[in-house]
Formats: sequence, C-alpha cells, structure tokens
Amino acid sequence: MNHVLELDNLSKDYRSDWTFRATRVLHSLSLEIASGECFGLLGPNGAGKTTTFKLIFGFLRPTEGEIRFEGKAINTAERAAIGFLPEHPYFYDYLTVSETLKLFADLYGIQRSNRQRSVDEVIEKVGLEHKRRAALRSLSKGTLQRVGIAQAVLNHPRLLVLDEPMSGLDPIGRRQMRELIHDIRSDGTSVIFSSHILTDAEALCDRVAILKAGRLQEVIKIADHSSTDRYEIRISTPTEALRAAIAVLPDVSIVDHEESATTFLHVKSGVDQVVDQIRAHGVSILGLTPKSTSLEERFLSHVGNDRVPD
Amino acid sequence: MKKIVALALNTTREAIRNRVLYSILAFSLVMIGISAIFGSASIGDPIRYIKDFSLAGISLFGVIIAIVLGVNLLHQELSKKTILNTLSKPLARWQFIVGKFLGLLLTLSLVITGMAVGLGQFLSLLEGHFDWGIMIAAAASLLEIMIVIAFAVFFSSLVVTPTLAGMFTVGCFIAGRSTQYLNYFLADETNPALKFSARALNLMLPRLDHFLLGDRLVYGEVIPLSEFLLLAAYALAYSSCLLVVAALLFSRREFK
Repeated sequence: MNHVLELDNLSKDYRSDWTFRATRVLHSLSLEIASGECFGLLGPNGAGKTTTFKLIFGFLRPTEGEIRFEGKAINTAERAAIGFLPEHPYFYDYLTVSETLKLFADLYGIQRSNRQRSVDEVIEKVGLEHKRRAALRSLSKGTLQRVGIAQAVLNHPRLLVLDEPMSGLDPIGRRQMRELIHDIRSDGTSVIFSSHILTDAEALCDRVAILKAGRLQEVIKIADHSSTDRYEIRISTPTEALRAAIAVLPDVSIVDHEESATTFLHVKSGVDQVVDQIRAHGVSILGLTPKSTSLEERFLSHVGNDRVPD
Repeated sequence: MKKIVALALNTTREAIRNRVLYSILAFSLVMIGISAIFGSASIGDPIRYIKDFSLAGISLFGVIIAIVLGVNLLHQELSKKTILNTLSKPLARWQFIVGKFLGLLLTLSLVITGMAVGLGQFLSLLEGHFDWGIMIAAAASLLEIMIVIAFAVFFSSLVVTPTLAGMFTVGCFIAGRSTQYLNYFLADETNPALKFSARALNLMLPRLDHFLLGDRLVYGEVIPLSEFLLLAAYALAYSSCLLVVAALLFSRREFK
C-alpha cells in the first residue's frame, strides 16, 4: 500500500524558557496514512493533535523521529503538494477573498496565466462566488473557514491537513464542511484532520487515531468498528428453567428490568442458540437489536476522566 | 523571486491600508509644516530654512515610520498566527524575511518620494524651479531608512516583543547617527580595553551620519555621483548582512 504520510517514532519536547526543563508533549507517535485515505486524529485538549500538525509543516522541530511525505522528508518543495488549514484560520483581514487567494496562489508558485482560473475554481468549489470582493474582516466564522479550505486546496494537494475544521461552526456550517471534505476526498486527495466532534470523524474517516496526553492510544478502522459486535434480546419474564439454561451459555448476561417487567439478554456470541433456548422454553421475544460499541464509548474508555468532546 | 515579490507587494498593501501609517504621516506633515513656518520667520534665507527643516523632518519621520511598521511586521504575523498559513506554503523562511523587508522598503519609498515631491513642488512655487537636490537628499534618507528597516527586521526575528525590538532599533539608529563622536573618544583614549571596544563598536555600527546630505545640498554643494553610489552600496551591503543573520535566526525559530 502507498503511504502518503508516515510519522515514524515522532516525539517532541518543549523546553521552559527559564529553567530549560524539558516536557515531553508527544511520545513516539507512529502513524501511516494511506493514499486516498481520510484519517482522523481524536483527542481531548493537550492530546498532541496540533503539535503533530505543526511538526508536519516544520513550525516545530521534532525532538526524535521522522516525518515523510510520499517517502521523502518534508522540505519547502514537498509543501507544494500539501494543503493546510490551521485551527481558527487567521488571514490578512484587510484583503478581500479574491486578493487572499491570489496571494496564496503566488506563494504556491501557480503560474500567473493559470492564477485567475485556479482562484475562480476554488471560489466556486467552496461556494464563495458572492463573497469574492468582500473584505475578510467582514466575514463570519463559517465563511472564513471556507476561505481557509479554499486556500488549502488551491494547489490541488495530494494531502490535505485540517486542524479542527469543524471548530466553532453551527450545525449547518458543519454539514457544509463535511460535504466539502467529502468532495475534496472524492477527487483523490488524502485527508488527515483533527476533531473534537466524534460524529464528524465517524462520518468522514476511514480510520481514526485516539491520542491522549501525547500518546497514541488506539487506531480504529471505522468500517470494522461499526459492524455488530453483540446483540440485545428483550424478552418477557423468563422461567427459572430458561434462566438455568442460559446461565450455562458463555458470553450471555441477563439483566432484569423490574419497572417494565422485561428482561434483557446481552449476547456476545451464539445468538441463534440463545433464541432457540428462549423459544424452547415458551418465552416471548419482544425485540432483538444488533449492537456495536460506539466510537464515543471507545474514545471515553481511553481518555477516561479527561474533558469529553462535544 | 515571484514569491518574494508577492509577499513584498502584500506587505506594502498591508501598510497602505494601515491607519497607523496615515496617522504618523499626517503628524509628520504637520510637524514639518510648523517647523518650516517657524524657520522661515527667523533671520536669514527663509527658503533655505524651509528646505533644511523639511528635509530633516522627512528623514526623521521616515525613520519613525520604518521603526513602527518594521518592528510590528513579524510580531503581528506571529500574534495573529497569519504566519501559519503563509509558511505552510512552499516558501522558505528567508524568502519570507526578504519579502517582508522589501515590502516595507517599497512602502517607505512611496512615502519618502511622496513627501519629497510635495516639498519640491511647494518650493518650486517660491523659487520658480524644481530643486532636484531635494530628491537626492530624500534618496539618501531612503538608503539610511533601508538600514533602519533591516535592523527592525533583524531585532524582530530575535526578540519576542515589538517594544524591545523597537528599543533596540532606536538604539542602533541613534548610535549609528553618532558614530562620528566615537572618533573623538578614540583619539584621546589611553585605556587599551576601552579603545578596543570603541574601535569594535565603530566598525560594527552603521555610519548613518554619512547619509545626511540635506545640509550640504541646502548650502549648494554638489554631491558627486560616486559618493552617492558608495552610500547606496554601503546601505545595500549592511542591510544584506543584517538580513542574512535575521533569516538564519528566523529559520531556527519554532512557532508553538
């Protein structure tokens, strides 16, 4: 498999300006992002998501480890094929949308003859035709985020890095941003983004990594994770004989719900056998629900008492 | 080069749309006007006084604008985090420094040229002809300002706060304008350590006093082209050295 981005044993220490004491904020992070993949970095504040992105773009120097883009160390030339949307993107607010994008087109080294076409294309892509001549200082947070995406995809990047792209957006803005990322991805661009919003990560990503305090906790493949891993069977009051028959089955637990006079059976495996037993004992099945562990449950199992994301 | 030009033009656009520039510009025009009026009321040749005061005013306020805009140049990029968008592009950090420097130099060129042309036009109404000496004096001031901008960029890449960068730049400007006085100390000083320090300082500091051509031009002296070209070469070389060090320091800087 081709890897567009490889983080190899990446660590970062921050040194105090006064005591020179080093504090490690990222611990031996190793990740590989496949070509065309959408990868999410999840974690509470201080998990190391933004630090990882800053290391990718050389804003910080790694204390240990290496970063490779398409097999090469990331230098000035490699950045021509990578787009970046920082968290809360800041721009020169005295410029208009069009002027901003022209400036970034020049910085990407896009030829003057193609510049206007490239700018027009991204303006249309992010739906900012009506704001073309608006000064950035007059734009809403959501619109600025669109400008941020536009400048990040001006160069048709092979890798797009988005730091909290949904942050501060209202539900409509979030939905539009999700659609935008989906469209960009369908053009073949690999995407890596950080988010506090687990549902967005679940909807967009092929895989997600959970970080906590600078350490990688788990990498989850969304397709595997969202498949059924247990069943919940709701039955009317079970007979003692049924209880005894179920008690000997592995991976089944019984929970009585006195208020509704029903009983829940949580079945991890052998659901057919459990259903046969229930029927054989003449007990009614009121419902059978396939269950999967949600990303939120997995996330919380790692971050514990840390701040829970939105 | 295209990327540097794009950054430079953007820096100029930023300065031109900045209200601070116009505030300083308006203040400087008022101060130059008042000085000229007072000067013309004194005994002697009023036009010479107007030229003298105005050229000194253009030089001084040019330097003030250069320092105020120069020390904020990198600080604003860092505090507003616009630098993250810019440096994530295929742009080397030295290109960023050079682009910012050239942008500010272009801004000051426009400001100084505008003030000098305005003064020249005003004086041509009184004298009946345009005095090109004013433009030569203004050009020499611009060369001095080039060094001051390089100092501002250098200190901005070194220290975190614009106030500190501003203080260091002002210090270097004053010291640079006063290098001739170091020679007096050098002549009479017997302490070898002090003599060595003064000599080292004399070598390192820019000879900004050499760029003050206004006095000589006002008194009708013709500045030889070779002298002007030497000043230009000196300003270019000194600024380049400062920018190289600034770029080296900036390339090591981390943005937390």
